[in-house]
Amino acid sequence: MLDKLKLTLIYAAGFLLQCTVFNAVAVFGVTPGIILVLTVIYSFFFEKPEGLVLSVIFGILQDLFFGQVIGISALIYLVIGLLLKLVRTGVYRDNKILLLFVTAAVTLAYAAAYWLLNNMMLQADINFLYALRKVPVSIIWNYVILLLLLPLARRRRGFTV
Amino acid sequence: MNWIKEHVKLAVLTIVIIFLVTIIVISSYHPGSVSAAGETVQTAAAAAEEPLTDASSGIRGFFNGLFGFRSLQRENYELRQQVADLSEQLTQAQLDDQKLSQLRELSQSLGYASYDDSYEKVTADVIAVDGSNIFNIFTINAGKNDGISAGSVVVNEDGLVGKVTTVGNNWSKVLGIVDANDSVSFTLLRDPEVVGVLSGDGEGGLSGYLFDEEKSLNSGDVLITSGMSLYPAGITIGKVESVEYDESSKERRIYVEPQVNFRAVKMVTVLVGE
Repeated sequence: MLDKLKLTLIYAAGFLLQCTVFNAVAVFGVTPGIILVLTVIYSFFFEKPEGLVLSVIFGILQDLFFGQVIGISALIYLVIGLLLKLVRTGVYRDNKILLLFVTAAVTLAYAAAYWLLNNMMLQADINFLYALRKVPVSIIWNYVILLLLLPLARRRRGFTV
Repeated sequence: MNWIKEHVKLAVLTIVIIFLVTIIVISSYHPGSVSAAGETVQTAAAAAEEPLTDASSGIRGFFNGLFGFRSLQRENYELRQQVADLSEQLTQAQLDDQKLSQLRELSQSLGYASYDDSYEKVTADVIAVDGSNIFNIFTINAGKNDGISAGSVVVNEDGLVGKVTTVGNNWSKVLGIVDANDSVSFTLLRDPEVVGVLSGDGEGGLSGYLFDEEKSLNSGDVLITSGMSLYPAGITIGKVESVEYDESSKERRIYVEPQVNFRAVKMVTVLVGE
């Protein structure tokens, strides 16, 4: 129970920092996607689904606050988390190059899916390349945050490589 | 029933996906609406976000001071230039003062009221910013209690910022003008007879066309709202970046750079009611 409470607090802190403090240290106007990074960590390195459940909950919160359509971020986090759970058993996860590749793929997938679903649901005409223009910087940001948060996740019961 | 008992995880996952898809579809038909539960959660989160945003301003100030000496020198130079320009403008304004008095008398006699007169203004701080890096959406610390409603127009010192899409008791969600689906009617600052309409171009700017193709318009021209749409007249929108002839629609397409830097907005004014 205490473990779950701690994890919830980590997600809550990540969410609040993402939309407040991290705007002060944005690089080229790009802030890290902390909830996305937490989704990667708690889906890729842990078997239990608590992290994924929290990703969906905080995804809905993110959409409530900033989305024009509620549920899009939550659905993307869920799909990304499920895919990571599918591939996690076949690889040695504690490899920095693999983690960089996973971060890049997940960041790109999130941006592309967010663009696609918003364009579809809002019948908008947002340029695909415009939507993806900040992905390279986002990948670097997310990778740095992932490396910073990984030691914290290692201490948690259930962390497996 | 037995199948569900045997496949609990799969059943839960299916229910969650159906739930998410349902709220996506419903919220896309009713953008801006939020349930009572959602509003309560947002109100609580807004209360936590405000002090964090204040703290982040301190962090930004620290880093700016540490690494921004050169930019401060440049800013100082630019500010001196602005002072010189403003002094010149002040002289010009004094010359125009008499003309302005005459125009005010005329507007009173015609019963005309500018948006400055007819709207109550609520000043609010930006307390949270969207991290998706696609849309320009942010949350401000004023809401229903301050008289704000969905659709209220948001401006800052540079010009038109956007409109309120969702509102809670003490917070509101603001959508940048470049991301709003509705159009903004504009007129030229230098020639009020040039009128047209703009909307988001899907690339962080605005694009549109003129109602009268015969009218002239150049790069660098300043556009202001004409008052023919949701947005009241006289608010600066931006500058014309380019004018291109569109072969398919046989009309000139105008590309506009918004005056407001959406990522740097820290404080806004909401125009409330009429």
